[in-house]
Amino acid sequence: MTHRRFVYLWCFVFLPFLGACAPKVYVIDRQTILEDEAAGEWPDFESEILKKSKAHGPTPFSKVPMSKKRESLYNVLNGSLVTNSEDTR
Amino acid sequence: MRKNAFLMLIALFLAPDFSAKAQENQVQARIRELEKLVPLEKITVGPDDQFNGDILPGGRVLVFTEKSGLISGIRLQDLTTGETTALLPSNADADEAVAGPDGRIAFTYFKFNARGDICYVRPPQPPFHGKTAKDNEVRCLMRAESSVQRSHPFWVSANVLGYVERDFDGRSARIVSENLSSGERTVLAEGRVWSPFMRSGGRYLVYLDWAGEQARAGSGRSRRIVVKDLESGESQIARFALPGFSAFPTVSPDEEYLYFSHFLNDTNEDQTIDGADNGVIFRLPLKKVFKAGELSKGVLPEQLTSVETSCGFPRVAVDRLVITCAFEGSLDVYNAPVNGIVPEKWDEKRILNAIDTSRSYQDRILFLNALQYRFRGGVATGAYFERMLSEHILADDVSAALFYLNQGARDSDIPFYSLLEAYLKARELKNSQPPGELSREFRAAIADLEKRVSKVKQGKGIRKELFLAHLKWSLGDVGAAKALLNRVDWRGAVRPLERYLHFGLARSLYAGKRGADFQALQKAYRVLLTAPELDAQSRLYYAFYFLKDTHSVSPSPEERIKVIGEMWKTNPANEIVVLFQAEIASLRMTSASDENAKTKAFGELSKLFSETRDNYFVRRALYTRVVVNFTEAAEVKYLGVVARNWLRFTVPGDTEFAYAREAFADNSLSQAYLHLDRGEWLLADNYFYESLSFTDDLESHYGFIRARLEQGRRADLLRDYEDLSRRKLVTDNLKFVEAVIDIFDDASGNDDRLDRAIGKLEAIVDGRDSAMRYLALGYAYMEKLFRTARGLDFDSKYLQKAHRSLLLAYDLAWDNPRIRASALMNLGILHQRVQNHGQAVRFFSLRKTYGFISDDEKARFEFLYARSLAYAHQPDLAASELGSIAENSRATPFEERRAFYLATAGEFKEAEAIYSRLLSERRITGDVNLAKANLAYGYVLLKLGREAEARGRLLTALKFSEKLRPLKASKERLVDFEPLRIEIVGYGLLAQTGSPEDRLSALRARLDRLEKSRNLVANWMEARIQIHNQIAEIESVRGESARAAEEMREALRLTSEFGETGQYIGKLVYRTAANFLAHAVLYPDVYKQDDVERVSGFVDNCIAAYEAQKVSDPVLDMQNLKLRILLEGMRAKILKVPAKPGEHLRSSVGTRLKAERPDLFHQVSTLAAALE
Repeated sequence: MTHRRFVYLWCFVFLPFLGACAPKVYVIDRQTILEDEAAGEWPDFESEILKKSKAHGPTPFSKVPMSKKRESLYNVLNGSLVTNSEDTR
Repeated sequence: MRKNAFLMLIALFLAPDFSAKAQENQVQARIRELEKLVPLEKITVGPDDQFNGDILPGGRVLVFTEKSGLISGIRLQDLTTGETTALLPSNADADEAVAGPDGRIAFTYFKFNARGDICYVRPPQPPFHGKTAKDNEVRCLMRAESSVQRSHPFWVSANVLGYVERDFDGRSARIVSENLSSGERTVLAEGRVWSPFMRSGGRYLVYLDWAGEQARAGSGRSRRIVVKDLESGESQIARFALPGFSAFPTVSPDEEYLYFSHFLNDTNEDQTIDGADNGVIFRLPLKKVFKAGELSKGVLPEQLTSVETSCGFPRVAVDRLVITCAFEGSLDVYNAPVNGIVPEKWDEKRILNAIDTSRSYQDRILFLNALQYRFRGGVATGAYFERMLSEHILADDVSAALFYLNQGARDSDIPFYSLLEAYLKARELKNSQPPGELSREFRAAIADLEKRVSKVKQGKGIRKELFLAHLKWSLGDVGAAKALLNRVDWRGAVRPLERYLHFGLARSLYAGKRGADFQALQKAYRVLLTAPELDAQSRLYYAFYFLKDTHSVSPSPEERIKVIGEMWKTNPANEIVVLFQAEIASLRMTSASDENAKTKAFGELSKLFSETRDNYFVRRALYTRVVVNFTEAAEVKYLGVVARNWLRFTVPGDTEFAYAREAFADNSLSQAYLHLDRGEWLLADNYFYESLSFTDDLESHYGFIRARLEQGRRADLLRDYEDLSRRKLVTDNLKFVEAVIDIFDDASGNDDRLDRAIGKLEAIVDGRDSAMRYLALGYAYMEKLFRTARGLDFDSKYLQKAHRSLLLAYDLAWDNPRIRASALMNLGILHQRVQNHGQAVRFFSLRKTYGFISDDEKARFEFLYARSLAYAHQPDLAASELGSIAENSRATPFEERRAFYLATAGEFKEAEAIYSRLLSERRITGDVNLAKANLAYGYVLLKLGREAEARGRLLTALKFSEKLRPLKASKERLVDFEPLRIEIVGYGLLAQTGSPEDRLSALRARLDRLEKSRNLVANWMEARIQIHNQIAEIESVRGESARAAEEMREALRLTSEFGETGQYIGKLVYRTAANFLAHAVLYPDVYKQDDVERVSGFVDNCIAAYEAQKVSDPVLDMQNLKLRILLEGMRAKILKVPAKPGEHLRSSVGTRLKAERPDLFHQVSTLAAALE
């Protein structure tokens, strides 16, 4: 009890200097309230969704579009268009 | 126990200090020893553009510019740890940092003058720990006049800074040096000059000079590099045998070399070679610059980087070249060897080998330039120009090709080159046309080119029809182009260039189409595949495209085998026959119904692999085609064998080996994911292991760990890593391995493991800039945020760290959709948790473009995405997203949430159908959900006009809500749950149903709940006023004037309180006041005891507020007049005094309203007349 009073006193005295004593103020938007009032609550389901959706590894797509780098591995080039290309070889 | 053993093992192998560079392991050593281009080493990391790097003396700190949006600032990076900090407090733009000999940094600063000042400062030393230089430590050069623009600082010596000073009109500029102590200024060069550089204390000043249009017409160059010898005063323009123009000149520390970037081609096809095109770094000994005048075509500098990496801003430190490149999604600073990315140790034979194995024409140009510079005398000969012309035509670099054509390639065979020039000019012009449009000027220019082609003297080997066909094609005249191409006579000697133009046009006209077009394309291929003069590489190239084009129009293996068989009959060269045999064998294999037939067909292929092992071009074409066919048919098992064969038949000393190795590792990873998808964990783990032992990359490590743990083979996993460590195949990346195991083990929410994983991930050196590390780290910080957050309160430190890491993962994984998809998903979830729904929608919508691995994954995504969409005021889209979930994945919560979003979006009919079904099927359970669903359903029914049903649902909702207890905000719950809120809404809706008595009862119940919930309802006061008004209205209609008056008085009292908060104007205040006054006029006896002066005082306050409005508004004027008239009427009725309400109509407000809105004035006049 004494400790709590001390904290209050401390906050009161130093209030002008210390923002830390100020209560945090949150503006709760209308959608949050609306959801709280009228949307169903499925805590286990939502927690499962979050758990499965947070990814610590790559999404294991079985196939991905060939990257530029990978594509170039399978590039086949034309030969020289110079009539006598040995000149520059 | 095993875990502890593993930790000890890790500790044993990781004991050395990794604060600098981790010791190279066996995998890295093998990769380094591969015969391939030296890869550029990325230094800076981040989603923003980071460029113009320079190294501070000592080599530990990099200084560079970072541009985020339109804001640019200078940052420092400790090269030993990767730690970065801002050079200056972020209160003004700064760029063009350049390191001085004593460690100070000069830069252009925009704090004191929008045109830029030249300033310098001593930077903080690493480790930075967020330190920046202080504002008062920054020194700037004095300026006499503020209108000149100053930029491009450089150090002339430790006490003298140089810079460019440009006049206001921008036409003339000076390169000036200025003594920091005395302020003495010297002009070093004048004209249209910029981008100067010199070594501190050096002899040469290099800069760019705008030659002007006249000079451009003469030399073909508008921008050129000038080298000025400050000792002799001699200046020399550097003339290069290169197309395009040069920029960013710089000098090596020993002043032996001039380095610069050069824009060779119009890579962005805007018809101008400029800074927006891909830059290449070149160098040239300075002494050669001064000899350049001896060579009419200019000197050939040494190419150091490829066009593909688009590099600029070279700076040379003693042991490295620091450049800025743009090939991985954003501009970043890279390290490269001072003598370029073609290994210095390569001899002529190795470069010729690299030319053969090149994967792009851009790389081939780099190798050809290296060959010419190092082993062919370093001069540009006619043969060199001709080869460059060929390569740039193949690369479709038209501007560069035109340059080489005019430089010397056309010294012989003039009629043919005139035709080729017409073709190149037409292509150049065509590229400048917007897609699908051809301007009149373009048509006229092509007509002119057609005339020029027609005028070329007809002779042996001149095929004008081929060029005219190309010109017709450029005009979009397909019929004429086809007719002309048909008329080309291919008899006699044909140039390889003509073959290529034939191939290009035939594909443009016929490829990708079936029927007669495909037959015409086959006819063209018949000519090409039997051309006697082509070399083996070209023949195989055309044969390869024949197979590709056949594949694109004939998907069935049988059809393709038939077409190939027909072509075979034309008797093509041997190497083409081998390619056809391999194609047919691979098609038979992929279409075989049983394993025996597959094995037999693969046996044929294996034989061909073995027989062609010494014929490089055949082998490459053959492997590539087989890989394409097997990948398409998902022939996982045999794909691995092909990749292994490719590697097996390539010797390590061959430059092909690096590609074969990469193809093999890439194939291993692809196969690992294919098996993962099929739930074949053992095979997946084998392929991940194969990949990691080849690459040591973190993605493979992650996959391997996951596959092993999924199989419950933890002991084997630890043993394998023990073995990999012992063989030094994995060293520093073991930290990642341990962190990932900790993350997997963290399923129960063990904070120690998560913290330990973060510690290990932060300590990684080798894979520090790996997207995979940042993904895991971002996940871990996000998890910390989730675990420490309570309600809407969260630790912003974790938000920042998670956001940064995930964004870096996304940025670094520019070529990896798997990591990008995960990073985006996490970013969406992270921002949703901190209620930053706009950002969450942005990330989720990007995530959606990558697709999903299963219906369930998509359903989970849609649930989260829809929530953020609804919060971002798009409930209609939210409902539509949830509507896209597959039937089999639609669990009740998805449907319930969809109904809720539909109701929010005003789609009541659809919402009603879902609520009705869910409730009748009893799929919604629990008091909370039943209270909420019935409430929402009741609201929807009310909106649909089904009042009686709505009333039933609302009563049910209220019955359930009475059972509920409040809940405090928590980790899972963002805000406190208060059943009172449901009751307040429920009674509010209920008050719109039933008899007047029912409505009164609901309103009183609502008022009762409101009185108890001052902090729960945002518009608490207004809600109460409104209820009193509503009750008064019902009582009045019922004839209960006294009761109505009671409610009116309470409403007026609350409105007075409300007005005292400064809100005397507003619909609610006006209505309450007007209703009260009107009721008093109608029933004066009920109000005879009321304090008329108090009421007058309130109304006067309202009128005063109306009068104080600075801008007149007719509606407010009308309200003002009505209140005045009603007050006058009330006073007359209660105090029995004479009333003259009509006089208010003649007031200034009345006159204004009459003029502006006669209709509103008429309403007020009628009221006044009634009260007269």
